[in-house]
Amino acid sequence: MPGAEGETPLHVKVIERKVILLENQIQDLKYRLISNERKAAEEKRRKLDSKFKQKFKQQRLPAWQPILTADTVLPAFFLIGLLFVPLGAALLFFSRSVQELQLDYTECLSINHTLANGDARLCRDVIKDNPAELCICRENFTVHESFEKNVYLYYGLDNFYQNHRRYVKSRDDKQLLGRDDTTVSNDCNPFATDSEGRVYAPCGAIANSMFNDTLRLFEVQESGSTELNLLKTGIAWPSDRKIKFNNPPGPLNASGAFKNNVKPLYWTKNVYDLDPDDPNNNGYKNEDLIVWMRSAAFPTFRKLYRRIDHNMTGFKFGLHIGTYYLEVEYRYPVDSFGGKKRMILSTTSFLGGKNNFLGIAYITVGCICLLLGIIFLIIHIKFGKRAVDQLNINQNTPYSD
Amino acid sequence: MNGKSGGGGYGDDGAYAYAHSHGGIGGASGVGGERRVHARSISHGGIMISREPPMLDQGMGGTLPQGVGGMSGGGGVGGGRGHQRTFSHGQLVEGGRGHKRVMSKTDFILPAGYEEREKEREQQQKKTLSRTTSFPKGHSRQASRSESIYTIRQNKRTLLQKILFWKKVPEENRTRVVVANHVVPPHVPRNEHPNGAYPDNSICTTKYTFLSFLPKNLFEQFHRFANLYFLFIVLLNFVPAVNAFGKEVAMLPLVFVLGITAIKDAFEDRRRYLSDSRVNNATCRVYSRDEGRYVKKKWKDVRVGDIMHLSCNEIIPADLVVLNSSDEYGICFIESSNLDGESNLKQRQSVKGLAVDDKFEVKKFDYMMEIGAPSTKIYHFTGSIPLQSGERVPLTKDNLLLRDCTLRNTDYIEGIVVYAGRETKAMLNNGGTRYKRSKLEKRMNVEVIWCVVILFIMCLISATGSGLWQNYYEVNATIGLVPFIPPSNEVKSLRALQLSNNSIWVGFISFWTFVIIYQVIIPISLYVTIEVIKLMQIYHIHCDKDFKDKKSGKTIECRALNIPEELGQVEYVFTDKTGTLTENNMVFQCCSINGTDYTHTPVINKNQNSDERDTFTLNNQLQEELASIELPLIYAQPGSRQNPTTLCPPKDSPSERIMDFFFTLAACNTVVVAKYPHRDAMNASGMIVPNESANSSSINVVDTSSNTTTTSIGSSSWGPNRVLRGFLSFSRPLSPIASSPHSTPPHTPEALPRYAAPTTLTANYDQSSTSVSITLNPISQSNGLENVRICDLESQPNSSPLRPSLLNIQAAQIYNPNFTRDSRSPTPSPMDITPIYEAESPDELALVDAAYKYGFRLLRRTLHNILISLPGYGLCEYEVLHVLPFDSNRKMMSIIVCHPDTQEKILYCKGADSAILDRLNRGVDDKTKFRIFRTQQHLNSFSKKGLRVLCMAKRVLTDTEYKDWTMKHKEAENSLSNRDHKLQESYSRIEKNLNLIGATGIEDRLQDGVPETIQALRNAGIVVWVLTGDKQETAINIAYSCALFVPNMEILKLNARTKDQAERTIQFYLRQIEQEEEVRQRAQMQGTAQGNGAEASNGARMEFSAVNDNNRRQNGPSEQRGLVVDGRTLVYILDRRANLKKPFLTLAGKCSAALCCRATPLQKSLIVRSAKDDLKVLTLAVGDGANDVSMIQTADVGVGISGVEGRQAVMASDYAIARFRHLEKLLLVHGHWCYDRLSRIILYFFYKNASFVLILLCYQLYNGFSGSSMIDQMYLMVFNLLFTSIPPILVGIYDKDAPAEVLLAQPRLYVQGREGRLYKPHSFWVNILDAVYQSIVLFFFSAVLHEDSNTGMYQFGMTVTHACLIAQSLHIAIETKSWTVILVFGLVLSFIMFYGFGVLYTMTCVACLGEPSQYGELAYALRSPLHWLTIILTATLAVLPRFVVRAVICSMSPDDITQALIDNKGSQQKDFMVSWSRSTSDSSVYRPNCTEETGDEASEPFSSLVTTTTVITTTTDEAEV
Repeated sequence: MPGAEGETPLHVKVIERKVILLENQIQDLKYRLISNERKAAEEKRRKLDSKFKQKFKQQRLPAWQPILTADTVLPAFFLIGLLFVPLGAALLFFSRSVQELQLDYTECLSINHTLANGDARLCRDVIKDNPAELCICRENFTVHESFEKNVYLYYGLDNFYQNHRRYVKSRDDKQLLGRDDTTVSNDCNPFATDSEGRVYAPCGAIANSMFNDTLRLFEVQESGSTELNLLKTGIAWPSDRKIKFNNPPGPLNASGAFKNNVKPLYWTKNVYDLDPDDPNNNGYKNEDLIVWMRSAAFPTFRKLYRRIDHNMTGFKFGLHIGTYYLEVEYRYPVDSFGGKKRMILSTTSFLGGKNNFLGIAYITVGCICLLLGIIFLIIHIKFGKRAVDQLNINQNTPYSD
Repeated sequence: MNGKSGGGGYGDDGAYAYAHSHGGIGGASGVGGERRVHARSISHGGIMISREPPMLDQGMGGTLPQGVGGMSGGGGVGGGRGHQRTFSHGQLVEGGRGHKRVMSKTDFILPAGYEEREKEREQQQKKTLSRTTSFPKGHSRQASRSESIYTIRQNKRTLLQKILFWKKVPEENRTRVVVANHVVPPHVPRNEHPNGAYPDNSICTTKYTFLSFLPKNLFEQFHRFANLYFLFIVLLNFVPAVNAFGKEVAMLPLVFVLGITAIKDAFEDRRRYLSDSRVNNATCRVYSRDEGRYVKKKWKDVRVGDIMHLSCNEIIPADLVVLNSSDEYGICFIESSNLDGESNLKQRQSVKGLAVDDKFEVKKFDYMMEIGAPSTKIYHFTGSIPLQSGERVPLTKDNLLLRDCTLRNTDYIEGIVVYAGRETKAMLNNGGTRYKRSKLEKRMNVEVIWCVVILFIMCLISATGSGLWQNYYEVNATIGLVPFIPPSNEVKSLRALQLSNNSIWVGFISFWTFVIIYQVIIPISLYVTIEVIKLMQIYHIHCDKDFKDKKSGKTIECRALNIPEELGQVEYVFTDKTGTLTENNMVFQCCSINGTDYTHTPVINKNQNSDERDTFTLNNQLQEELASIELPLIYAQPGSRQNPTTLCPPKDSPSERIMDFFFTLAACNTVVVAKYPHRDAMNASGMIVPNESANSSSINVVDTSSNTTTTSIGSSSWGPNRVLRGFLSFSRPLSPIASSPHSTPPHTPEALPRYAAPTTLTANYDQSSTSVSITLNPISQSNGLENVRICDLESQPNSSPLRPSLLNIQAAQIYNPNFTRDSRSPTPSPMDITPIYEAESPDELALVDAAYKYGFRLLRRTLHNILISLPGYGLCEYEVLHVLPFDSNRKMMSIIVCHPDTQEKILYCKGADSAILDRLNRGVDDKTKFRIFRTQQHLNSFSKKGLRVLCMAKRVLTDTEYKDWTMKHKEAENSLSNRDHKLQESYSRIEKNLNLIGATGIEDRLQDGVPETIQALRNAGIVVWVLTGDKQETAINIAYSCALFVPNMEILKLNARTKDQAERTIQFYLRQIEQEEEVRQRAQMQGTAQGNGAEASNGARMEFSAVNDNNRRQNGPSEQRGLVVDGRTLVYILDRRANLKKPFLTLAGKCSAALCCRATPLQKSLIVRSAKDDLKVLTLAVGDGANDVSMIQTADVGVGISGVEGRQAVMASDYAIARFRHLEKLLLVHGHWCYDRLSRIILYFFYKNASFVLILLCYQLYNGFSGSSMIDQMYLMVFNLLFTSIPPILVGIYDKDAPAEVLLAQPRLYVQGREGRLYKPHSFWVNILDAVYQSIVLFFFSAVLHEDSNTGMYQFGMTVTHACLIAQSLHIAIETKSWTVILVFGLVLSFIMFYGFGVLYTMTCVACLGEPSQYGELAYALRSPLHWLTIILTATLAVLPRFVVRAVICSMSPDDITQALIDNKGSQQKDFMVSWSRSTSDSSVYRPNCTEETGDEASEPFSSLVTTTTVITTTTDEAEV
C-alpha cells in the first residue's frame, strides 16, 4: 500500500477496523440478545396461550367450586344482615327528614261561581257544565313545621292511567323534536289532525290531556296575602329539555313555527302561548309540557309543578310556619275517571320524596338475614360436624369401639 | 400372450405355471406368464361362462383367449364351483347357480309372529337380498348391509325436494349413451357433445348456494313449530288493533334466532363446501387425446366418457366401467368401506369381448355404451356395448367401480367414466345426519306445552281484567269512553267508537295483545340456546384427549349432535362382545391334535404404536413332532417326488393328522393372498416411469431386458440365483419350521450352501423378516411368487439355463435390495416379505397365520387351486373341487380338494365344535373314541379360558361317493325353487361321517380396561347386557373376565328347547326370586339370615346357585343375579305369540347383568327394542360390526366402536369411540355433565322467561290491563337475547357439578342422571313458583317504592329491568357449581351488554324507532340512589329463598354429588387422598379355577363354572323354608 503512508498508518487502520468489527459484533450480540429475549417471551406467551387453550378445550380450567353448606353461607348472611340493618336505619332517617304537605283540591269551591242560593259552587261542577268557564278556587292550609330549603310544588292525580298502553303510545317524539310540523305519526290518532287535516301541536292523547290547572300559592299575612314566587323552570329533566324537546324553526307564534298546526282539542291555549313570558320555556320546550309528556308509572302519581323561589324575602331557608292558601284556576276535569287532584309541597332528600318503606324493608331484610345466619349457625353446629367427622377418619384414627 | 401359451395344450394359463406336480408348461407359457408378474390370487373364468347369459357366452367365446377357455373347460369338472371370495353376488344369482349365501340370520331364529312388526324392515332386507347376495362369506360377522337404509333415506329426500323445491328431478328411465371422449372431435360444443348432457364430476354437497341461502334456509327453519309460533306472534303484531309493540321491534327476537341458526347452518355448509372443494380438486389421471397419454386432471374436470387410469389404493373419482386391469383376467378389487362400510374386498372385472386379442388400447376404444339411468341402487347397474357385428357386450355391476371406493389388490385399472359427479351412486346415496330427540328434550317439550297453558291462563286473566276495567268506564263514564284514552282506531261513527270501547270487545282484542306481550314465557331462545350448548358440549367431548386411542390414532366421533345429555341418562347398556369388549385381534393359542393339547404362549404386542398383530411363540413339542414327520420325508428321498405315495405318512396315523390339521388351518378358509404391495408404472401425472416398469410392473418386461443396466445386474446376480436354484431343485430345506426365535435352527450339510449366497441376501432378510423363525427358509425369503415361479421353472427337467435370462433379472430384482427399491416405494417393510393375507374374519387370519408359522404356508389361492408350501413336501398345488362356504346355520365350512399325488378327494372341514362333533363318524374304534373324548375335554377347557373354539375334521371321499354327490349338488345348485334348502341338504349329505382331526382355541383378548369399565358402569347402576354370537361357555367366561359377572353372583340360565320349557323356566326363576325376596324380608325382620335354596327344574338345564345371604345383602337386592340366555330360547321369548317377553323382562329386571349368547343381529335389536319399549328405559347399544348395526340403530343412543371391522357400525352410530373403555368417561363424565348442565339450564330458562313475563303481568294491575309495559320494547326484546342468555349458555357448556376425577372415582354418582333426578316433573313447577315469587318481589317492592311519586314509567321500568337482571344473574350464580374464568366472564359480559346497550340506546336514539323515546333513562336511573337501593333490596330478597333452601339442603342432607364434593374437598384440604384410586388390575382373562378340569366335564361342561358360589340343588320344598 504505497499511498497509505500519507494517510493514517496501516496498523491504526487495522485497529480501527477491528474496533468497528468488534462494535458491530457487540451490536449484533445485543440485538441477538434482545431478539432472543423477545422470542423467549413470545414463546412463553404462546405456550401459556396454548396451555390455556388446551385447558379450555379439555375443560380443565382452574375452577372454584363453592359448596353452599351452612358454614360457607354463614358469613354471607351475617354480612348482608350487618349491612342492611344500618343502611335501612339510615334510609329511614333520611326519609323521616323529608317534609311533605298534601292538599286535595278536587272538591274545591269556586270563588267566582255561586249556586242559586248563594253558596259557592264546586268548581268541578262548573267545568262539567261548561268546560270553557274559568273557575277559580282557593284552599287554605297551614304549615305547622317549617320546611327546609328547596321546597317543591307538585300536583298529584289519582286514578289517571297515564301508563295505559294506548295512551302511552299516543305521541310523536319526532314532532316534539321540532323536525316536521306537517305530518305526524299514526300513533297520535285520533288526536293527530283535526277535521281539516291540520296537525295538532303537539299531537296525541298525552299532550291533549295535559294538566292545565294553574296553581298559585299565597301566604296569608296580616297585611293581606302575598303571592309566593314560584319558579317555572328547572322542573323537567335537563336531558329532556335539551334534546328531546325542541321547537320547530321560526318565531313561536301562529304564523311562525306553528303555522301549520292547531292547538290540541282540549287545550284552551296554543302551544306557543304556554309561557309567553319566557321564550325558552315556550312551545314544545315548555317544562310543564315536558313533565306531563313523561308518562307516570302508576295511576296515582305526582308531577313536579313549580319550585318555590327561595330568593324571596322570608323564604331563604325554606317554607316557614304560617298559613297559606292555594289558588287554583280549575280547568282540569277528573270526574269522568273518578280521579282526584292534589297539591303537594315537599322537600327532598337524596332519595327523592318521602319514602319510609325503603328503610323499613332494608331493616326487615337485614333482620331476616341475621336470623337466617343464626339458624345456619345452629345447623352448622348440629349437622356440619357429621361431614367433618367423616373427613377426619384416616388410617390413624383409632376405632371408637 | 395366451395364444402362445395355448400351444402347450394344457389349457392352463401362465398363471397356473406353479402347478409343480402337473408340470407340463411350455416355455412360451413361461415367458407369457412372466408378463403377469402379479398374478391375481383369485381367478375366475369358467364360472363366468357357465353363469352368464348365453349371448355373453358367445361374445366371449369368440374373443376370449384360448387359454382361458380351456381353463373354463377344466373348471367344468367342478361344475358350479365358485370360490368367489367376496363380492360376486349378482353374478351368482343371475346365473341361477353358485353358492348363494344363506343368510346368517333368522330362518330358525326369527319367530313368525315377529314378521308383521318388522315388516318394512324385512321387506327392505328381502329387496336387498333379491338384488344381491353380497352377504359376506366365510366367518364374517357382518350380516346385513345398510344399502336399504341409504336408499330409503335418499328416496325421502328426493321426494321432499320434489314437493318443496319444485326442483325437477329427472325421471329418466331410459338408457343413456356414453361414448369415449377421445373419439369425439375436439372443440365440439357442449350441447352437441354426445356426453354433454351429463354432469361433470364436481360434487356439491352443500345445501345452499350463495344466492339460495337466505330463502332456502328460512324456508327450512320455518318447518320448526317453534319458529312458526313466533312468526305467528310477529304477524299478530301487524294487526293494528292488537299490536303491542312496534312492528319492527317485535321481529327482533325472531330475526335473532333465525339469524343464529342461519349462521350455524352457513358455517356447517361452509365446511361442506371446503370438503367438497378438497375432493373436487384432488387429482387423477385421465386419458388425453391431444397428448396421447394419461394426464393429470382434477376430479371436478373429469367428465362422462373420460378414460381414467387408477392405481392400487387410489380412491375412485367417479363411477367407472372397467375396461382393462393389470390382472390378466381383467379382475380387480375394490373396497367399498367408504360407501357402505364393508371392509372386505369386492371383485370386479373388466369388460370382455371387445377386441379380438383382448389387448386393451385406449386409442382403439371407440365403442358406444348404452347404460341405464343413474340410480341410488348401489348394486345395480345395467348396460351394454353394441359391437359392429351386431352383438352386444353386456355391462353389469361387476364391471362398475363406484366412486369413493378404493381400488385394492390390483396394480392398475383403466376405465371409462359412466356416471360422474352428482349422478354417481355414492353421491346419490349421500344421506344426512340423523336427528334424534332426547328424553330431556321430550320432557322439555311437555313443559313448553305447559308454558302455552300458562300463557293462555295469563292472557285470559289479563283479558278479563282488561274487560272489567273497561267496563268500569262503560258504567261510570258519561259517554262510555275512557276520557283520556284515545279510541284504538280512527273511528268514523259513534257506533264504531262505542264498539271499540265495548268491554267484551276490548277484552277480546287485548287477549291477543297479551299473547304478544307474554310470548316470551315460551322461551324462544331456548331451542337455539340448547342447540348451541349441545354443539359446544359435543365439541368439548370431541376435544377430550382421553378419547384418543394412541394405537389407532382414532378419537371419538360424535355423529349425532343433539343427544349428548342422553349419555348421562343411560339405564341399560347393550354391548356386543367381539371387537367391542375384545380386541377382535385373534391370536392362535391352543390346539388339540390327536387328543394332545398344545398350548402356546401369546406374545402380546406391547408397542401401542405399531400395527403389528399379537403373535405367539411356537409350541416346542409340536415342532418336534412336525420335524419328526418331515425329517424322514426329506432324508428318505431327497429331491425326488416321483413316488409320491411313499412320501405320505401312513394313513390315519397321528402324524398324518398333524399334517391334516395344519393343512386344514391353511386351506379351509376364504383367505386371499396378496403377495406384495402393488405398484403401478404410471406416476401421478400420467407419465410412464421406465425405471419402475423395469422393476416389478408387468407392463414392459421385454423392454427392460434390453436395458443394459438390468442385464448387467442380472448377470451379476447369476451366482446367487444358481445357488438358490440348485438348492431348491435338489434338496429340501431341512427345517422350514425352524424353532422359536431363540433356538438356532438345525443345520444340515445341504443348508450350508446358503451361506455362500451374497451377504446382501441374508442381511436383507434378516432385517426385514418379521419372524426370525422363517428367516432361513428360501421360499419365505423370496415369497414373491416370481421367485416361486423361478423355482418351479428351474426345477422343470427340461428347463435349460440358456433360456430364462429374464428370470434372472427377476431374481436379481428380488435379491438385490438396491434394485428392488425404487424411488417411490419405501424400503421393503416386513410386509414385503411375508405374504399379505386378507381375510374377512380375524379368526381365519389367525389360523392361517398359525399354520404359516408351522411351515404350512398358503401361498396362493385361486378359484380352483391352492398353492401351499408344506414342510417336508415343498410346494404343493391342490385342486379345489368345491368350497362349501360358511353359514351360521351349519356353523361350519368345508373344502373339497383333490390331493395332487394320490388324486384322493378329501373333504376338509372346519367349524363350531357342536356342529362338527355331531357329524363325526360314529362307527369308530375305542381309540378314536378316546381321542374324541380327550378333544372334547380340551374344547371345554379352551372355552373355559374364554377362547373361541373351532374343530377340524376330514373325510376321504371315494370316487363314486364324490361323483354321486357332485351330481346331486349340481342339481341343487341349479334348482330354481327352494335352492337354499336344497343346498343345505346337499351340504349335510357330504359333511357327515367326519373324522376328527383336532381343535383350536383362539384367544380374542379383552381390550384394555374393559372389566374396569363394566364394573364402573355397573356401579353406576347401569344394567349391562352382553349380546354375542359366541357359544355359551365362551361367552360366560368372557363375562366373568370382563367383570360382567362377579364371583358371588347367581347365574340364571335359560336354555330352553321348547316354548313351554322356556316359559316354565322363566316362571320358575321368577317364583324363586320372589320367594327369596320374601325370605330375605322375613330374615331381615327376624334379624336372622336364612339359607336359601334352589331347584333344578325338570327338562330345563339350569343351575341355580344361591349365594350366601350375607354376601347378597351387601350388594343390595338386585345386584347379585346374572342372566344367561341363549339364542334358541330367545326365539321363544321374542315370539310375540308366546307372551313370554314380559315375564322375561321382569326376570331380567331382577338381574343386574345379562348375557345373550348365540344371538343373531336381529335378535340383538329386538332385545334392545323390547327393553326400550316395554321397560321404558333409556338404552345404549355398543357395537363394532355390521351385525350390530340394527341394534345400534334401535337403541336410544348408538355407540360404534371404530375398530377393525369396517365403518358400518360407526356410520349407524351416534357416537363412535375407539375403545370400549372410553365408554366409561363418555357416560360417567361427559354424559353426566351434559345431563346435569342441560337440565339445569332448561329449568333456568323456564324460570328466567317466566319471571320476566310475570313482572309484566304484575304491572297490568296498575295500568288497567291495557297491555302496556313499563319496560321499553327494545329492552323487552333484547333482555332475553342479550342480557341474560350468555351466562346460562356458558354454564350449559362449562359448568361442572363435580370434577371428572370424582365422577370417575364414584360411578354411583351417575344415578343422578340415570334416574333423572335433576329434571323431575315437579322441578318445572318449582322453578315456575320461584319465578312467581321473584317477580312479585321484584315488581311490588319497586312498585311500592315508586307509587305516588314523580317516577316516569320507563324510569320505573329501568329499575325493574336492572333488578331483574341482577336477580337472574344471582340466580344463575347460585346454580353455577364451579366457577371458572369463562363463567365469570360470561356474567360480566352480560352486564357489559346491559350497560353498553343502554348507553347506545338511551344516549343516541332520541326518536329513532317510532316508539316512545328512551333518551336519558339509563343515565338518570344510574345516577339515582333510589334506583340502586331498590335493585339491591329487591334482587337480594328475590334470590334469598333459593339460596337458603340450597344451603339448607346442602348442609342438612346433601345429595350424593355434594357429599362427594365435600369429601373430596376435605380430603384435599387434609392432604390425604380418599381411597378412590382405581384398581389398575390387568385385564387378564378371569379364570375361575379352570386349571385342569376333567371327568364328566364333557357332558356337563359348565356346571362347576360358578365355583365361588355354592351350588345347592334342592327340591322346591326345601327351598321354601
